[in-house]
Amino acid sequence: MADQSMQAITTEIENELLQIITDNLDQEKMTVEDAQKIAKEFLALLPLQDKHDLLNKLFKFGLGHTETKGLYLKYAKPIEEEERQKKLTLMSEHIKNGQLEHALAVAKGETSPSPVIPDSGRETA
Amino acid sequence: MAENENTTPKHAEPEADQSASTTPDTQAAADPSLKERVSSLVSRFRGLIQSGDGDTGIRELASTQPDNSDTPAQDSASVAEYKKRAADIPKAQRRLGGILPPSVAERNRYSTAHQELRKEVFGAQSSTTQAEAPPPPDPGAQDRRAQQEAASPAAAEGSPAAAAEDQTSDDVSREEPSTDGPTNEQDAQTADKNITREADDKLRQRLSEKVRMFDEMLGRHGLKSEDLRSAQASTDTHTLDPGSVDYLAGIGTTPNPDADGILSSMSEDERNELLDQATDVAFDGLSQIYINRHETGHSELTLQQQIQQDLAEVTRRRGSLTTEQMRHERITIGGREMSLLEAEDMLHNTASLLPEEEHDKLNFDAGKRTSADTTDATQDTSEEATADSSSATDGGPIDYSKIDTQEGFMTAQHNLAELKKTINIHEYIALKAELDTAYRAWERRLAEESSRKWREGEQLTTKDFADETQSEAPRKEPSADDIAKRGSRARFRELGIKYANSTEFGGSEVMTPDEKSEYLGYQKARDTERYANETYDQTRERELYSKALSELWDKKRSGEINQNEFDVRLDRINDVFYPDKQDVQVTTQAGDVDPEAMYTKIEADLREKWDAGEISTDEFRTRVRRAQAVRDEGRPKGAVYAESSGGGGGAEATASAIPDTPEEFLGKVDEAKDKTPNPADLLTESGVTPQQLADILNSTNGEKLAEAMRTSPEAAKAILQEIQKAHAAQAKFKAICEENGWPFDEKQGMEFAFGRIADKLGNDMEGGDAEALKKWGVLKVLLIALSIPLVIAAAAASAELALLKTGTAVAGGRR
Repeated sequence: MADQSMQAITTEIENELLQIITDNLDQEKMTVEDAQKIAKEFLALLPLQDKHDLLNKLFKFGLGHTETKGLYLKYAKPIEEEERQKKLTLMSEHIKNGQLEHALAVAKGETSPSPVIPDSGRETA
Repeated sequence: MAENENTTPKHAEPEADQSASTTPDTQAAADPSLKERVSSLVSRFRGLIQSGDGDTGIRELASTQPDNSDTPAQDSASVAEYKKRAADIPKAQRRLGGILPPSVAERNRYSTAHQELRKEVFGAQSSTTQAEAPPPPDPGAQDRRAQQEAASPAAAEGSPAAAAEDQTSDDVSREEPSTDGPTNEQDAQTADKNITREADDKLRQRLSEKVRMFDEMLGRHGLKSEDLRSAQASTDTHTLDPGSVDYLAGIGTTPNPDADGILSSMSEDERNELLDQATDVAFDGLSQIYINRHETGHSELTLQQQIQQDLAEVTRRRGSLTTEQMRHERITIGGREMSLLEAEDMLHNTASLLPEEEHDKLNFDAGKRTSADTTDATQDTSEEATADSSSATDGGPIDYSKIDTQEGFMTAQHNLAELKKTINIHEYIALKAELDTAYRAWERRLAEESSRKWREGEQLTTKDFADETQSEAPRKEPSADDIAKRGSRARFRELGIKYANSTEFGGSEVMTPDEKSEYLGYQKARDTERYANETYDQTRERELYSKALSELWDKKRSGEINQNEFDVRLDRINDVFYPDKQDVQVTTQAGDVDPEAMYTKIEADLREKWDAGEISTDEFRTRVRRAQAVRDEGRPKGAVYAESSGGGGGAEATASAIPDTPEEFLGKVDEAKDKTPNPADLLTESGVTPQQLADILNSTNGEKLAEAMRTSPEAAKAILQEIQKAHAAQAKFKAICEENGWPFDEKQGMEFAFGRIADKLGNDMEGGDAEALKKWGVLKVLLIALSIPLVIAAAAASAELALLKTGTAVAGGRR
């Protein structure tokens, strides 16, 4: 099931991608055809199912088009933070229920949700 | 959207393939026209980026060439100009990410701007309406729709929001690709259509998000929308349409059997939140259906005219029907059959989306029956049974401005609460807002009047405030004999100072029971008009202050008291005379400060803060009252304490306003509140030691906690329980830290915990709101503590670090 909030993020990313393309076109670092190719490849990534999917796809996309790596970096950090906040919320629930051990397990990452960092770039904390 | 890859560009561009293998520089150099085209592309894309339409640019880039090489040069120039200028039209509704929804007003303004521009660029030929022009394909529409349908909980049968989504999605999906060659007119229409589609997309996102949030909220209560639907259907007493606004709006007031336990266990606030959310979701959906139907219906009427027409019809049909009868009366509005009540609410909601100037033109009384029409129909309604509320259901305003006492407002509020059972939610919300506004205005008038009286030198006592703000029953004034027996105002001051220095508060003065009784009698008597009208004796005031200070200095010089005790008692004496001493320069020499000047300054400062919105009306009133009391009469410690941080005025409260011991504090609680349970019992029940209580009262914002405890016995009890829980939880957390080898400083941990509690609670519960305690428990503090190792873990796994470690750091990106 796709995350509805992803649509807004997708729109934002598309805007930023167009900015990158436009800048590169303007400075003649990219041909129109390259721009078309990037646009098509990006659209092929859609829809973005969730933020995990977003980061994975942006990461891979950046590998093929180095000029777009900034996109990945821009979104990786806040999404990481969001993930952290989710963990905190989960821990809060555990703590409220008196399950401190479970909260600690979440803190240690043992029961954390799916990692959001692409496998190729992930380091175990 | 993945199918975009397979989308065949409508107009293939010859240069594209030819130049694919050339470098950009040589490409541009070899083909000046290409350079020009790139420049045009860049210009157009920048416009799209600026207006947040990057997605349009990406899709355009991926599917078709932005300029049409087969378009005649002159037309192409017009189209280019139109596009360029259209991109400059402010598009408020397309804010990044759809954070803010497009309102009808915004869409109207935008549409009008485009219409005008189109006429200017293309001339009078541009008269085709948007609805007649076939729009271009939206490669992402199907994907987005599929996403929404799959993800939206409201896609379940019967949800109005789902219906809205279906409707808007249908609108989009009905847009077929153009099979004709493009013309400049069509290009212009395409651009407009894109705008409309874009707005619709954003709206769908917004609706879906609302529905998702609503379902999340239900989920937090252990409910599902399906539960509510099935339960509603099985409720005999209601025949609401599943999925109707009435149905959703009814869940807050008509708990269904299945979810009865959960709903009834909710607090009033929770139920109201649920209700608001449900109606919000439902009405937005219905309004959007209505708007979409209007926009696609080739109507000659504007939206405002359409609403006016439908409103008049609803009002005419409504006549004198009761709300309950309106639930059953059916009407077809915008091609959709619904209850009369639902239609009315929906139309009002839609009207609220109109631009202000258009909204103001609406006549909400249109179609209303004359009094002669309704004479016969006004006898059997339940609404009319409530006198104050009948005008509301008839559409007439209640003149709250005529209510001039708090009791009157309370009665109105009570009546409104009763009325809530019979009127629809929008009527209720509107009336509630009106009442609240009137109340605030009344409060402000009172405060201004009181302040004016003070400025003009009128004597105004605490009782004045109490009378004006609380509509209390008139107090029995003491007779002249009573006053005579009790002695003079000066005697009251003397006793006040003695009381402040008494052994009861850690001092050395011994007060006899009679003296204390006499003093407390003065306390009560001071609020009477007669007492307040006594001549203010500044000379006597200064003498008393000077005397108290002299005695204190003597004791210090003689070694009877140490520096610490001197400081504490000096503060205490200053508090008696000048509790707001931070606002003025108070020296240790008697007579240096003129109480009248001091009061004027304090009152002016407070007024300035109040006007600036920095303090609430309650806080303003409380603090003015304090300053007023200082000016008029003595300030025994008990009274200082009772008002020291009242109304959130803790910022300037002094440490001496906090009793030295928990028992003393709780004693003050008892003194201030007749209904306070036995303080000792409270303390014993909580399991909190006196030291633990003292710790938290001495922590940051401890004054506010103390005030909360003083204000409400329930809050006092809850705080004690929280303190007990904090200690228990902290102990457990400490054990876990030790077990895991994490550093843990007990003292810092406790200070941190208590500081956080006090700080947060102090901000949240200015009125002694015990509920706030439950919402922000000490466990949050533990959570923050727990997050520390998590931060370390998160940092280690941060994206940048991961990239650097894998050697894929950014290179070449130009962001």
